[in-house]
Amino acid sequence: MKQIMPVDEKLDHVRKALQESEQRYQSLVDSIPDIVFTLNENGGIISVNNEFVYSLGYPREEILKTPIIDIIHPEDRSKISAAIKVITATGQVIRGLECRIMTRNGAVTYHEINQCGIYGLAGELLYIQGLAHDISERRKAEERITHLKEFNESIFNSIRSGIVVVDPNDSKVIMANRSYLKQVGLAEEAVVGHKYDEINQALVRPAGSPCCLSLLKNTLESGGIFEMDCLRSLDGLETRHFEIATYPIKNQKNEITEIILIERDVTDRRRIEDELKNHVTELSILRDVGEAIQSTLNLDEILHTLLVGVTAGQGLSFNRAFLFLLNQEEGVLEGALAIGPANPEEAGHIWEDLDRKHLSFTELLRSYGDPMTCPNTLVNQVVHKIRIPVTEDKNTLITAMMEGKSFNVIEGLIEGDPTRRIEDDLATRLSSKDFAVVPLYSRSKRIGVLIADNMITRTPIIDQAINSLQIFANHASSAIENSRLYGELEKKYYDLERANNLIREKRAELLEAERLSTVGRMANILAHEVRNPLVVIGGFARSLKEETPPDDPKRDELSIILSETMRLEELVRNVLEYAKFAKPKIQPVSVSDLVRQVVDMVKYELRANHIHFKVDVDEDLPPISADENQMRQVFLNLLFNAIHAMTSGGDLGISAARSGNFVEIKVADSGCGIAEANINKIFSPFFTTKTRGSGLGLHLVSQIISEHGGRIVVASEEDRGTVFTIYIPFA
Amino acid sequence: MKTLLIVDDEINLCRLYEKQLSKEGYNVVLAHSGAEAMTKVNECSPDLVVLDIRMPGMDGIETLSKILGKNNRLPVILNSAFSSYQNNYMSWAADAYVIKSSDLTELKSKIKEILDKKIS
Repeated sequence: MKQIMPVDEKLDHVRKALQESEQRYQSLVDSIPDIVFTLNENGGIISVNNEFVYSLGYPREEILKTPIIDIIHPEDRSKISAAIKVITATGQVIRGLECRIMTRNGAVTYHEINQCGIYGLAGELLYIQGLAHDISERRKAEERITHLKEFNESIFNSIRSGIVVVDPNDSKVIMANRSYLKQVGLAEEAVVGHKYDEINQALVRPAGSPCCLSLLKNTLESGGIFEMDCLRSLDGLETRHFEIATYPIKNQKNEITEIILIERDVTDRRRIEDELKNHVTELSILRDVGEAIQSTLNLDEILHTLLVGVTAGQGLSFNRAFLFLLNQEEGVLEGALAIGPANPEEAGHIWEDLDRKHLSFTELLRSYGDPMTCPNTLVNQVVHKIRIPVTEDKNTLITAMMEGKSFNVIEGLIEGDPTRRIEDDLATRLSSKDFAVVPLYSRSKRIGVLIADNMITRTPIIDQAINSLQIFANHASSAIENSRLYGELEKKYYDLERANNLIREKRAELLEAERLSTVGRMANILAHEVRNPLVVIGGFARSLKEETPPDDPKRDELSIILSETMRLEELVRNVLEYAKFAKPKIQPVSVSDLVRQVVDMVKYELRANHIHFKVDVDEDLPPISADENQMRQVFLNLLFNAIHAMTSGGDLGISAARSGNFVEIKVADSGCGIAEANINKIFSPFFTTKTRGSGLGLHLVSQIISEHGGRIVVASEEDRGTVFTIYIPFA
Repeated sequence: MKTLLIVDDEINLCRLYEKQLSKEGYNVVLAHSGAEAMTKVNECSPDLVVLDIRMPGMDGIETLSKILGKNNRLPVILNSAFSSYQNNYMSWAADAYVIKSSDLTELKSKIKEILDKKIS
């Protein structure tokens, strides 16, 4: 039998069951890790789960009845409002609505929200159920990836080297960076999706240079890294140099997934390297030439070195070089020297020979031998015939020299000035219409011009070569200038030497005059003191002989006396003839100069005899009128006398001062002195107490002084010294 | 007989001249200085004077000018040991210039030559 329950009890039971169900639901909802909420049809929050409270930080009692849009990011509010409207109007379920929810402390969280309406039995909307799943982490990761992608792309594009990524399966370009597009001058569409090799092949290259088709093939076949150089001339004018390298990208199975090609434009780098190389070469040549030039100051050798440097393979490698120098005196630019083969055959021989020998520049220079031994080469004959007056100011060579300009002459026209032609005559003589002209000048001084050409090889002359030539010419110019300066210096030196020789000669003359003056004095003495007695002796001998009978033996002896006397007379006559040359020359003479000269002349003797000397001459003394040579003789004799009196050293004083109308000159020594008995004899001829000397010295002194209207006084004390005092009137 | 005046400060030389010239047939008068020569010129009226130049006191050149001042027709032979006076313009005033020598031939021939000229 079915037990029937009372209605109230039944209701209670149902209520209880409902309550339990609701609690179960609530705890279920609370255990979900996503945010769960219910809203009324206006968007007001009815209920939230624990996760809502926990993750957003709003207390349950505070958040209930609050409109949901209050906690939505302002930018996303419209989305939520729209969704609620859709649900209430159509009953549609909203899924995957991404929107930002603000936490209570203001942080932004990303959520994906699903919403749907919950309906009653009669189909009426009871509330809106919502579930928000936090996607902040995912969003951050996405943002990071986007950023990374952009970052990579910007790096990819900002790298200066061209980068191309190629699909190994079809060799088509997957991507190419901006630098690559710029380097090849193509739009992205013309590159991406096209075969790399085809793109490469289509690029303009200088004739004969490879287009690097083997690169991809090699990489694909071997999986290795390959590098290659290639030249491109995109605008058909400028050739640019590229270094291309391939890098295969492999997956874990070691299969090539992509090939990266990196194309570097190394034109500038190569140019700088080349320039550097050129500079190094230039410097080493210059060093060699410099050394060679510095090893000589001989102009011919300098010029020769310059021309060898210009034409040598180790040098500037021109075929021929012609040098013209300015002849200042005649105002003509004239051919001086040339080097080079006469014709291709000769060139072949010479160059083959040089190639075999591998000479250094210095060796090469030496191998040419003496520059002057081969002046008859054809080029030398040619250059010697060229003479251009400086007045021809329109002439190419004259212009180059006067204006310090270098020219590159191509097909007879001056480069950069097509209106100007070079002179036909010059072209004919050089048998060339292509050559470089550079001036030689140092500081502001014009020296000449240098012409260099490649007549045999026909190699075009590039600007770089002209620059090198100019540098060369500049160095040579200063060497030439140095040589000239040296020449002038040498000339000055010779002048100086000549002057010195002249002085020496004059000095010799002076000494001769000195000697003659002594001889003159001697002659006077001979005449007076010797000739007279000789006349008497000879005269009486002759007289006696005449009175002696012819058979008297005394007659022979008288003849001997007579002939000996005549021999002496003859000797005296000869000496007197000789002495005639010494004529006194009276002129104003500075005593101080004279004393200085004389002291200079006996310095050696003074030193050798340990004699201290003191000169005290009034520099303002007026001149005396005298024969300078004779007066010098006076002082020399007095000084020598003093020196000879001081054989074991002593003091010598020379003073000169004014004394009325006379100059008073004292020569004082601390020597042996003169004995009182002798003091009156010292001026007599042939008187001497010395073992050396003629005994004429002091006699000459007194004679000369009296001839000059002066006088000499002596004061002496034995073993104390002697003082000679001379008085000579002023002029 | 012609009278010659020999002027020289060297006594021995004077004696040589005296002896040699007397032998030649001249009357020889001696003077040993310029001053003495002037006296003798007045006293003896010589026909010719042989005059030394280098003498103490008044030298030969000065004596010459004095003699000529007195009698410019009196011939004078300068007789010197020095050749240098030959260039002295005063010596041009003399009739001859003979350098002293032990060989008196030149002096003798000059004396004769001048005296012969004077006569003719």
